[in-house]
Amino acid sequence: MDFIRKYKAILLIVIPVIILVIFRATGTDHFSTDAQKLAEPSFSRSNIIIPGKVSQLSGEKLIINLGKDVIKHNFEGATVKDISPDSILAKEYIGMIKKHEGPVFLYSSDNSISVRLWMLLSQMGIKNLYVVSENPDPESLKYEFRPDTTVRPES
Amino acid sequence: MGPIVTLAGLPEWVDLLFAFLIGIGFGFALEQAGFSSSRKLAGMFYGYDTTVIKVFFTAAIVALAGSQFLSYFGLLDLNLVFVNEFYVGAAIIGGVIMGLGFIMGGFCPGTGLSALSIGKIDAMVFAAGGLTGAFLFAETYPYVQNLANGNYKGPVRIDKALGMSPGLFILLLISAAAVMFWIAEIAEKKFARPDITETI
Amino acid sequence: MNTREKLSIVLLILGVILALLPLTGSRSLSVRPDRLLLEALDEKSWFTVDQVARFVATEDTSVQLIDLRPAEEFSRLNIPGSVNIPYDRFIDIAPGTILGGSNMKNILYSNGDIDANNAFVIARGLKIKNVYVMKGGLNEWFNTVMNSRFTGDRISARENALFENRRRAGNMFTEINSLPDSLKKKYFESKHLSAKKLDGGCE
Repeated sequence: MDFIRKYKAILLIVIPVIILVIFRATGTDHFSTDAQKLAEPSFSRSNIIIPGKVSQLSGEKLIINLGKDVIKHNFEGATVKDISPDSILAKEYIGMIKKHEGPVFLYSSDNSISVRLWMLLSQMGIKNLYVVSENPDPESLKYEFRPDTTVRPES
Repeated sequence: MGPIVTLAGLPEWVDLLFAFLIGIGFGFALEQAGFSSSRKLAGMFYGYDTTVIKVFFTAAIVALAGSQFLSYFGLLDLNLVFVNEFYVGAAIIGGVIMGLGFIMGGFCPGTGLSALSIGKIDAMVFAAGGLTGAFLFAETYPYVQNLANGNYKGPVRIDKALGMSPGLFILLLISAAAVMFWIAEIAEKKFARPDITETI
Repeated sequence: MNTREKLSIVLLILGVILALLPLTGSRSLSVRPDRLLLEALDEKSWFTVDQVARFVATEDTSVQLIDLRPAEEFSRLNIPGSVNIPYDRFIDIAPGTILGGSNMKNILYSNGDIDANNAFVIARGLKIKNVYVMKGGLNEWFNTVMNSRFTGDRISARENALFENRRRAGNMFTEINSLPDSLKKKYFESKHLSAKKLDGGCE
């Protein structure tokens, strides 16, 4: 008690800061630090994988089917879980994804949804996460532009 | 107020209002700390009064630690906070001129304005000198621009330049400050000038 | 113990705490994950290429198109009115660059859907509210707008308006991207989004 009385002012500042830091460090309602580092797999698109290559990755595979469609591919040896996109952050599902030791694959007929969820989950610190894409090179331009050489700029 | 995440998106006039209120607080703090007195400020360099270094360094450390905590809690985007552009030659020459001016005039620009606001004549002359100097710099800029803009290193952060984490840098700086304050206390005793300090 | 000693101890303890925290000085997303999930699944966060074509054809000034592809691809061709923020530099550049009030729409696009949707989540996570995605990217733009062809004998008023819109936007796309490089460069520079210049004060 004497100690507390003597160092009251110091404890009044330091203890709340320590409590806030502990809450922040252990809390799940915020994203991890360093967004650039967590987004890195998306810069090289190493997080995009075609269905045929899924079986080549080592470890116990978990496929998360985000849509209502039935999965067309046969992912041998993988556990498939149907999760609606809007409930992916539910405690049971996010806990399952975080605890899973092998690679986790997000599957959706609409790439946009699985890509967005990839970024969201990666920013929460979840690693070894992939987006299954039918297209092996989804960011290449498939069309050729032919310039019109008769175009003249207006004077 | 862009760096403060929770307040981003306010209209510009609100930002300016915040700046005005912060300015009032800064001027108030300077005046109540006695920084309108040129003798108190010059005491820093003669050793009989080290309040300046204690106040400014404490303010810097509190701001540094506070901003890092706010950034950690997601309330401040440190990447949007201004970092001074570093021109090596200009920093050295400007620092020497600033140091000479500080000792001779007994004011720096901020404290000069604080003293000016309470009607001190030496502060008025100091401010006039400062404005003249700025005017002369602008008029002679074509001749000095190479020197002013030479050796540009960009907005350098010490912790990034040294390759250490911001937290470790702050701890080292706080420790250095504590040692400096202890040395300042010794200096105040060694270079005591009661004939000046009792009248400030 | 005097006030100065107490303050020194407090600052030293806070310094130790900071030294132990995983601070990197880099940006992190600042909204709550559940909030960001809602925004990520919001249907209104996508614009179709026809909607973007209408913005282009009418030179809508409340819309800013942002091309996320590398600078070389952008300079070769892009949708008229676009500015370039390469995706791998998006986190660094976007928060200080994407301007506009709440009425401004910043529409992101890349060649496909991947980069634009990634950047969307990052932007909304950094509390940049007025960003959207052009669905399908440039591939869809070419497929729907540039290669738009009407077949058949009769055209309804609605189809006519759609076709006309695509034709106008497609013509603008062809004209701008057919300019010689020197003139294209001048056009891009006039559209360049400059970063909000941070001004420091002095004491």
